[in-house]
Amino acid sequence: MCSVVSWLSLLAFFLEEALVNLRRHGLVTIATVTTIAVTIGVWVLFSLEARAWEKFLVWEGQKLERLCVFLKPDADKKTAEKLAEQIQKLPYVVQVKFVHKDEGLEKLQRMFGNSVPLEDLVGHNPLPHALEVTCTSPQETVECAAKIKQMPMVDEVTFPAIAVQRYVQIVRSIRWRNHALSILLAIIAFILIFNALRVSVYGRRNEIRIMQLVGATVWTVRGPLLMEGLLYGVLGGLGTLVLAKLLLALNAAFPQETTCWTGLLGSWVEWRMLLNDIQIDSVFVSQVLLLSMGLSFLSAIIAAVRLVRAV
Amino acid sequence: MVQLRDVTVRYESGIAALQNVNLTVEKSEFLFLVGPTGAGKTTLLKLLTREVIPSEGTVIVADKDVTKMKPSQIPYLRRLIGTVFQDILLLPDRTVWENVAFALRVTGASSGEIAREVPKALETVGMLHKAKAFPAELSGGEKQKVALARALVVKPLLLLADEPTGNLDPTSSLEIVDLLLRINRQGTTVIMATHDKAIVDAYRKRVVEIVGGRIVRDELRGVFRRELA
Repeated sequence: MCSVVSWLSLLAFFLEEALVNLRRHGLVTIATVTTIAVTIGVWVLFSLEARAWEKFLVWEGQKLERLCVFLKPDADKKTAEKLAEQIQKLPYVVQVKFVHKDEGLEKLQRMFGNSVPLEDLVGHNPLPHALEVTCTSPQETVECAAKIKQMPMVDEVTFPAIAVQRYVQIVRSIRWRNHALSILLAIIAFILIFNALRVSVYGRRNEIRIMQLVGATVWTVRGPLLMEGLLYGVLGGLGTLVLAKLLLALNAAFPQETTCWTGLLGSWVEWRMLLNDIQIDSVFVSQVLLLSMGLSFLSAIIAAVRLVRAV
Repeated sequence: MVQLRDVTVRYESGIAALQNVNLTVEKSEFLFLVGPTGAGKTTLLKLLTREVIPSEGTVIVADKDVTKMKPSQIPYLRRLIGTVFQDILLLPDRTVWENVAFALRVTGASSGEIAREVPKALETVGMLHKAKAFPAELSGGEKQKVALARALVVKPLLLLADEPTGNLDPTSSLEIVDLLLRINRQGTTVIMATHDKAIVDAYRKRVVEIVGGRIVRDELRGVFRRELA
């Protein structure tokens, strides 16, 4: 009970000290909180943009994850079904569908339109039986195709190889860009928080000296700095929420044609589309606050350990 | 209370701040530490708070070997020691009450304990009537009394005063030393480093003189040597 009171009393002390410092170094506080707010805000926009890209690419990708396996002309239906079972066992294969050569001809006929009757033209159905294989994602199609091609009775495996390659490149570059920019922003935010706490330590050097002399533990001396970092996080997160609210208000106030989001990889993802994904609900608020407080608190721990050492 | 055995403090440059110092201070004793500037008085006091680690020898405070202490144990040692300095080190944006309470707050004292102990400490130094004043509104002597109250509020077994009268007028200086003596009579061991001849000569307490990092004199009812003045 006594130690609980002691801890609560220390926490109250940390909070008071942190608030005194936030007030004492007002300009530094404003600069740091603004940076955190913008950093988290940009993170949110990046994640929304990434989500929009992914939605688009998943939709496009659905066309790219299919392979068409043409069997040798002498392969009958039974052989095709055996082969289908074999292919189904391969990793990354979701579905295998047998396409009878008559069905294949119908499809081909539909592609050419009814103006050219193919069967009349060639006198018989020249197509082999085929299998339509669906993989888990376009990235796996190349490997699947190579394995299927080695199987007996397989004549040819077709898939949009260049499109798949381009798809994989785009997905990779978006992920890489998002990770790199997120890390860069986190580093900038960390440097600013570190410097804000350095100013705080300098401003509090007398307090720190007194604390050390009257027997405060090193973590008690660091406590107000950690609390300060946490408060930066809370204020920064709230700043992000205010920014998001402002953007949504702007979105509602201006006509749709005037603004267009130009992503780093193209200009067809509409700015509006990203904002439409924002809903300031309890999940969004808690995600933003947790991200902001986590980043600030982590920076504060590193800064406190570096700046305040046991004497 | 304090024991220094063959203590040497050598800086990285090789210069010795203290050499083969042996000193014993009993519980409830009052000791004047005298010597010229740079003799090693402050270094000796810092050894007791473990701000300085000896190159050789053993330092024992309140039956604890300070030299072998883990860093995590140092704060608990310092809670047994009160410290007062020439540069008074009060927090300018806090009242007298808050300055004294600060020492208790950092050790996790409850608000009840703070409300009980702070007035007692301020009463002891005669500053309770100025509890709401800020340091800028106080004289040098009053500031030092507040610093003394802050050192006392944690009820130390040992009080270290490093030139506490250095920046004070003679009347304020006598008030501070009177206070230290009163605290000493209540059972706290007091070690006071000073340059003030008048004070040392007036009180005739134990005097330890340090010159060039060595103890050259240790007298029970000593005076401040004329050549040091």
